[in-house]
Amino acid sequence: MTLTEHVGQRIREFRTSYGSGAGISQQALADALKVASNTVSRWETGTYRPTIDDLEKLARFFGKRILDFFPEEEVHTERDAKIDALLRTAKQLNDEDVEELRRYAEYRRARQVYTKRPPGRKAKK
Amino acid sequence: MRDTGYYYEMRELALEVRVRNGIEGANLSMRDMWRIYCEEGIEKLDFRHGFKDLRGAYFNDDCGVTVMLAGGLPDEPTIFTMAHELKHHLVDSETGPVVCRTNEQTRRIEIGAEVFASELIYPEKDFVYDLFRLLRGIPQAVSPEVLVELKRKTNTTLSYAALAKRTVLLRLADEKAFRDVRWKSLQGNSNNRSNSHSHR
Repeated sequence: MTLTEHVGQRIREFRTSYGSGAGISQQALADALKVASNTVSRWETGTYRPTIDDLEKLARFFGKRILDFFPEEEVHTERDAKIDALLRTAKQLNDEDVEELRRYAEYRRARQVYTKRPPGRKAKK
Repeated sequence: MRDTGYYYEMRELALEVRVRNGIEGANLSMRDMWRIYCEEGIEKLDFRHGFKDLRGAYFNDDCGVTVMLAGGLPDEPTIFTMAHELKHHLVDSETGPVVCRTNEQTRRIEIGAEVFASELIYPEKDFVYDLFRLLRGIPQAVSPEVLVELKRKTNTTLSYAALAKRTVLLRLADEKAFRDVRWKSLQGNSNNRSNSHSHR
């Protein structure tokens, strides 16, 4: 499975389990994200590769972390230690800023994973 | 005393960066800052919305050399924050990520970054020269109106707050003189006066 296919599969999983399992249609998701109606379908099948900014919007919409779209072993190994270390330096920030900073730190890590590997390369199962 | 030496070094470093990047005058634009970033090895600049107090952050790790700025700020505070984060890149990159808040100007490295940023945008010696030229000599005390006029004449992108802070540090005015000043309103009055003179 390529990274793009893996990400597509995760989008589908989050979409179909959205709202305590009730799910949301591709059309409704497309409307919420202000993308063309067939874009969500193409993301899910791996035909289109969502941009890193699309993934961030999707993560916010689903209430997930951007790293949740990626294979566990790609991003989670050192993730918590590094991000926790960053957040320790920011302990005097208010809660909202800490949350935004955490999202940004995860966005940077996701961007690195997403851009360092060509879309077609197979992800580890 | 040790800190005074450190802040002096930060000013010297800012002047070196200006020379290295061919910066002249008191008006440093965002385009200038981005050019300096590219020259000095900062690879990515991200604007992020949604922060309340956080103004910027500097990262240098396996994800690259990145500056993150709070989005939606006017140009002047954005330029100042870019200059502030540049100091972290040049001086503090070994210490790990640096997170900078709007009101965190107590730690040595943060004060150093403020000193560096002010000097990078508008060197202190130029400020003193311009001020004395404007006032035709050594002033008794510099008023907010004088700083408004100075900013208008030099077109500096250094903020009123930074200009006022520098004026106080140089003992050209008392801190009380700049308390609760409505800079935009003063600037409007100054512009009106300037326009009426030019129409005569």
